[in-house]
Amino acid sequence: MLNIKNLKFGHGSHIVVAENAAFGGGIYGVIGPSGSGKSTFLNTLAGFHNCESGSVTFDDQDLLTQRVEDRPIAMLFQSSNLFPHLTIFRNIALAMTSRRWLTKSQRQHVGDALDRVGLSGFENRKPGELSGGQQSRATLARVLLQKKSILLLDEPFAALGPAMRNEMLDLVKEIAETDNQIVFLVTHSPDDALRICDQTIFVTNKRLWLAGDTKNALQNIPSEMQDYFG
Amino acid sequence: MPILGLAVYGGEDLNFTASDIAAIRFTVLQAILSAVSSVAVAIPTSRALARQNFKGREVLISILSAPFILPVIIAISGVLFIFGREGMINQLLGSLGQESVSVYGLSGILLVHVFFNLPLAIRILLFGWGAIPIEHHRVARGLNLNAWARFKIVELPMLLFRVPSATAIIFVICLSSFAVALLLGGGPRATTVELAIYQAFRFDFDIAKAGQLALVQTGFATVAIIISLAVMKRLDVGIGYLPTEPMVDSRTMRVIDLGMIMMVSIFMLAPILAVIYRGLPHLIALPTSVWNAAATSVFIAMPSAVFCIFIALFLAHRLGESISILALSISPLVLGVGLFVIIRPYINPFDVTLLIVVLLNAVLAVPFTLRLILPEIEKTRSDFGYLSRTMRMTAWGMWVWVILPRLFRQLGFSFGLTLALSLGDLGVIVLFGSPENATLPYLIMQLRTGYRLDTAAGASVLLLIMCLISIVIFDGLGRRYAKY
Repeated sequence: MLNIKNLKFGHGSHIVVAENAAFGGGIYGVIGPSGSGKSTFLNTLAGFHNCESGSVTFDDQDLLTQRVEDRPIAMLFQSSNLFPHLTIFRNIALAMTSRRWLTKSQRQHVGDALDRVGLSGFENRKPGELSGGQQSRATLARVLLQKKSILLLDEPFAALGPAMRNEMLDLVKEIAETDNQIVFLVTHSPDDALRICDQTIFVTNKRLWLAGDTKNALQNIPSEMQDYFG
Repeated sequence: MPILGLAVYGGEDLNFTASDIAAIRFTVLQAILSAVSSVAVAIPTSRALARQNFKGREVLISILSAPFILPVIIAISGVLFIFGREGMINQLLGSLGQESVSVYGLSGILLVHVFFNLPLAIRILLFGWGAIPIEHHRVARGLNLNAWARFKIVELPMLLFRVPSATAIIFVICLSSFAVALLLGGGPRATTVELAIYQAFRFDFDIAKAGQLALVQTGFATVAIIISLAVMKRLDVGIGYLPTEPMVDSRTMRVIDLGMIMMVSIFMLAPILAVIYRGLPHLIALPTSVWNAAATSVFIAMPSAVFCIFIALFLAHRLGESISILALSISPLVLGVGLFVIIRPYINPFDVTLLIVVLLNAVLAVPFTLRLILPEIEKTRSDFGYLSRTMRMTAWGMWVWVILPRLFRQLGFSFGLTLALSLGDLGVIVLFGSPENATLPYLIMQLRTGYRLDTAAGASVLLLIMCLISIVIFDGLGRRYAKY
């Protein structure tokens, strides 16, 4: 269980206050206008951005005092999730080790992860030789091997076409359900949120709050979000 | 044309003496060592500047680029005030009862070459560190990679790409370095080909020998051009670029990084500050000869800058840029000797010294101007090219109404930069100059040789002020009248 208490984060004078909330296994859509603080929220959880005040705990462990490397968090960004000069196999294997030689079982794990995302046979390709959808699959394969309890998705599928994006979202849902992960998905699309998000978080006017069930939240849009949804 | 002239004149009877061979060897050796030393210092410095965020970082990076516009004579004066026979270091060593160090010869040449080329190497690498997506650093941390693995996977590929290019460019620049070798080298053990050309031309008036050596230097230039064309297209030095999000590691790394930045800053700024400290008190009492030389410099630099802008606008396309890279690699001295050989049958070259200097200075500054104006011209063509064609605008109309109004800012800075480079030039003028038509850098060199160090320091400060004012005024004018 991820607990947020009195959390304040942001840049300069734009400080967002997060309402206290507890997040169990499931997918949470993070929705709000550009510049409202969605990505900063994710970066704060991941440790790439220092918060102003407050606490974030996971299974009663203080998250904010932990090093980035030690947090139970995997994160995917809008771009540059893969190292372009490394093969897909090596990119994925980095989730387990940076050593040149992998054990038989490690190779097996990479193979299984590639199988699960439908990328068997692409091990020796470089990211630039894959389509956008295949690259997204590869990043998800790496997430599988990281075995982290929390997954932060900062619009990693924004550049994909609708069909491919839906395919990726379904894959995220499948992974989240199988591994009982807590997933935060930043999105501008209500359709994406309705497709896979169990609950929705709104961010606007320097405020972040858990709005509850996605379908309800998007049917009864609060007044602060009316301008955004139009 | 000047190169063809040399081929005809100097290529008739190629005959190299042992001292010529030694000069060729020394030229290559000092260029390799200068390039390797500059890049070796630039790697940790640029990494430190990319990783650490501190107040004044942008200003410091700008200041560290100062040697680019700094006249070579000022840098050498500064280095000598610190490392020279009577310099601060030797005075300190003397007071401690230690033996003094000599800055003349290979060590001095390396020192000044590193001083001049370190900013370029830092720029090239800093752009490289900044171009690594911040996400790669974050993914690597998220994957819990150790420091070595992070360096190997995220940073090393950039270094493997950029270090050879940076080294090659600096090697090319140092191959044709003349003024540094003239003032700090010399003698059988520290003579470059350029210096040998100068000595053959100026002291022995052996034009055939100068021509032969100039052909060798042209051979170097050909290699240099090939290297330049191969690496320069791949590199973006990123004028004014700064990484967007500095990375911070441990406290120990921060101390090491800031220590590195401080050492390099002292190395880069101390010579300039030494010249100002030594010269400022003598600025008021400068003799008339210095003011006359300053006027001659302005008289040469202004038309040079105007010519340079016209040539650059004429060459403002990709092919033109490739042609202009030739000017980066070919030495001013070789061009000067070549021009001398061509025009001598018709006119006494020494009668038109200033005209030759004006023309060559203009040509030599074209690559820098093109680097500044070409991106904006290409962007304008890309943004408004189709629109202009649908309006049936002629090429001339496009230039007058669309391109030039959007170029004021770049043209202003380019003009100021060309003016500063020309004011500080100590290349061609050394070949043809005389006390009667001395420019300010030429006079400073003579004052130094005559041990009138205080007057030389005062004149150096005057030259520094003139260069700074040129850039500030014309950059300001460009910005003021920029329409976009």
